[in-house]
Amino acid sequence: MGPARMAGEVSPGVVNKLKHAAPSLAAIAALLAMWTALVLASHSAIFPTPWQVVRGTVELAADGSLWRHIGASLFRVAVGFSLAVAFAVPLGLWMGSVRGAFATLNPIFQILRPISPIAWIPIAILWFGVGDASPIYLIFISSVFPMIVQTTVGVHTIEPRYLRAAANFGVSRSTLFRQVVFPAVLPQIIVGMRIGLGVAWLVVVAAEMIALRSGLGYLIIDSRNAGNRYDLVIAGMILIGLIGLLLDGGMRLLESLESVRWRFGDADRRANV
Amino acid sequence: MSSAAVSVRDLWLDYPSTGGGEPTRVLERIDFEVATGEFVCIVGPSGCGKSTLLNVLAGFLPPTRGEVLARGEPVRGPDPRRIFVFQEDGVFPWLTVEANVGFGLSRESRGERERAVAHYVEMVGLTGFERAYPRQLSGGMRQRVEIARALAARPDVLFMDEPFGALDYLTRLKMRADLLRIWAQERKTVLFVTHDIEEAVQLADRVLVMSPRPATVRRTVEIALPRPRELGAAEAVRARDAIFEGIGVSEATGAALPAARERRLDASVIVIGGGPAGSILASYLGGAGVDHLVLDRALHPRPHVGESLVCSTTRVFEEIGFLEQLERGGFVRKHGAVFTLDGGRREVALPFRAMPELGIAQDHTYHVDRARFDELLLAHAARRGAVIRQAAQVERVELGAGAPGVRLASAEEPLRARIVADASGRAALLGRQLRTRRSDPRLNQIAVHGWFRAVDRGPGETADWIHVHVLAAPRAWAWQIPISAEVTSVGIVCEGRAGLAHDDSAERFLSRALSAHPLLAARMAKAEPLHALQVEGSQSYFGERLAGPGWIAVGDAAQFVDPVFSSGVSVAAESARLAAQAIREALVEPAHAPELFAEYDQTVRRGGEVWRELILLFYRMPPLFLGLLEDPAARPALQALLQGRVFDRRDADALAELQAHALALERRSAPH
Repeated sequence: MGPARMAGEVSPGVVNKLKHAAPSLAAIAALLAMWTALVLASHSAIFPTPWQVVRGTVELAADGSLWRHIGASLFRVAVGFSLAVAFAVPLGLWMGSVRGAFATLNPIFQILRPISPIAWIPIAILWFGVGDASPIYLIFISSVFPMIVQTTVGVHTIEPRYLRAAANFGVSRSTLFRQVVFPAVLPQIIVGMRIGLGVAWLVVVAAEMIALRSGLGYLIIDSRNAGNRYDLVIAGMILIGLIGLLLDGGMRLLESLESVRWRFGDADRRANV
Repeated sequence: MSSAAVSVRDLWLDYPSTGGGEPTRVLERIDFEVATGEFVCIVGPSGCGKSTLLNVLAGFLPPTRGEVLARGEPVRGPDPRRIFVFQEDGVFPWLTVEANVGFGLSRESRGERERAVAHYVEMVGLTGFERAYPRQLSGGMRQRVEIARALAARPDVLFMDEPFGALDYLTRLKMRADLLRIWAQERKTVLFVTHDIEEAVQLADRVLVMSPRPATVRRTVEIALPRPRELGAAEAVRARDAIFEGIGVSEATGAALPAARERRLDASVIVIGGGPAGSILASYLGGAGVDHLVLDRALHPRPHVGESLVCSTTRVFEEIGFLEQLERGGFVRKHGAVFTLDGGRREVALPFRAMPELGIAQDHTYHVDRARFDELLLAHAARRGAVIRQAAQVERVELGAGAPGVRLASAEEPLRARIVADASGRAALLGRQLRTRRSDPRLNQIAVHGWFRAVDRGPGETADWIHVHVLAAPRAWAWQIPISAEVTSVGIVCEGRAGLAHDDSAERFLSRALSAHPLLAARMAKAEPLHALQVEGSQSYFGERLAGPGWIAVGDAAQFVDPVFSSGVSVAAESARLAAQAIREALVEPAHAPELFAEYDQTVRRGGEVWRELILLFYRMPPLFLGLLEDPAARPALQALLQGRVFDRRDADALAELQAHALALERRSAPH
């Protein structure tokens, strides 16, 4: 144990972090205060105060249903997103390297890409029923296109001097792919994954609002239907936001991998975007 | 079957047009061969297609016509036997140094690969950085990684496309030296594209000079010099001039010329002053094809001034093609210098020698009548392409953003150029305007001089040498310079404050000096003056800065040192030579102008400093100084310095050595 700190003394690092976070913490506090004041002033019977939201969340956590919903949503995203990565990356690399593949498939993907995943819901239900398969399919369909596009663009924008150097050394196709093409495209793939996961998380909530018995989306719809529990509706919304933030943070960690730092620079020097 | 490492036969390349018109011709009728182990540089104006040529040779681009053979085999595409080194970061940023260097060795066994990687990493001096990623290295180190990666593949030929072009100046110098060391070890055939002529002179066995687009080999310059090379060596200077001539500086700056016309420049370079410094500079510029304008104040006829030259000027006169005129011009030949001491009782002779290390084969120089000499030199500059404007009284030079301007008394609008060279002589136009001219309080002399008939120049073969008679008064001496068979220039130099009293006359001063010196008195016994004696200050001074953005000072405008060792024309000639080099290169590569001018500034100031120190050493104790000339240990260095070899870095060392000798002599001869 180090020597006891004098009362009120804090380490400089903590002070700095506090200073940095202070404006946004203040804004959140102001928002909560305003929210509380508006609810109290309007004497609303349905709309909850922040405190009621916290109590609702604790209640959900206590009976275990909170973890069940979060787990269900994360599971669907994990499966759908993994399938999308497994499909999109090889396809993108192929389309990027083979002119004919690009010419054939790119127009199709360009037409499919702007269709909102929500529009696929009826077809998903028709094909996959109302189990886990439907939202997984929707997640797949929503995240696969951005990743295909990013990977393809990544191959197309490899610096020609890298390809020429590789050609000059006369390396085998597999070395060319492993040591040049894939590492050169990897940063773009990671960008594609970040976008894809963001879309997937948006979509899972929408998908779960339809005919499912679990997930955060279901929690929101069910809380409203089963007795206007708006405290739980808002708790679900806030949880979705927080988990989305964590997922994005996780993807950002990938950008600091040694093998892609050349492209993203040093993560600690980057602005917090 | 050709045994050449690379042979290029009637190579043509057209780029297809984008708009459906005529294709653009990039390369035209290129033929050359490169022997195994040869280092060939390819230089040419920017955008001429030299990089494109290298790409064709490496097999990245198919030629439109003709063929490229490597060891007699047609080149059909890139091949690991011929590795291309890129200008900028061609190393893979996602691989470590180790993995990059081993990149081409994926077919070899692990052990072999590791051995090769370790060997080449060490060769390029990156041991300890094997696990580093390129982003953690400097630009120069990344370029080393790329060279190691290329060498590790054990190619026959290296194609290097301005590999050091993106590096800073000092790193570039270091990389060149290292490349030569590696090349000496590996003896690869190298084809090296560069826009840096100095780089080509330092590296190549042979330089191919390309024409502007459509590019063809316009000239081949062989450089048979051992490495490492002194850029000041005669052969290197010759090679550099030949390359410059091949490119033609106006073509090298071709891209910039239209802009120059828009800004209505009167010339690329304006030289202020038509004295020796100005004329020599103009001759160099003319030879390099730089358009320039010489503004001459035209004070003809000039007063009767005679001046003795030193041997180092011979190289300059030879380079500008003036030596023959000088030789035929009827000037008295000067084979050496005689110093007399103790009222003439003691004599020390300094015969001139050829200076082969400077490429000077001639063991004599000249005494010149400056009026005629200056006129001949200016006329020579005009023949070499100088446009000369006489009676041009320059008021000031406008420096600042944009092209510098020269304001004349007689014109409303200033004349504009890219570079203004101040060769205004002791008027030191820019030195005064910029307040960079500093008097040297240690050397403030005056001279009383004139031309005489029937001076006895002394006996024997030294009669036509310059004589410097050391007088009794502190820092006082007399010169005796033959101007022609009959005429001799004689002058007395002494410290300014001990010199002429207020009511004194030059004639009385001279007779006083003569009466105190038996030898001089005897030599001048029958002398008849040709005109009234002249009194002239000879305060030494130097510029704190001799070059800056858009300007450069040469000759006396840069600095003036006491005339005791006849250094005046030498400073003019050497500074003009160096300035011409800096100007030519600055016009080709404007981005490098600050470095080039800074280098000029340093070199010329250092040379002036060597002269000043030498003169101060002389004045401190003339007998001691001349004693050095009789000391076999000190003589060679002193002789070289007194012949004007002061602008090399090594000369400063020679001077330091001399000073040490002098100190030792001084101690030995001390009275106790």
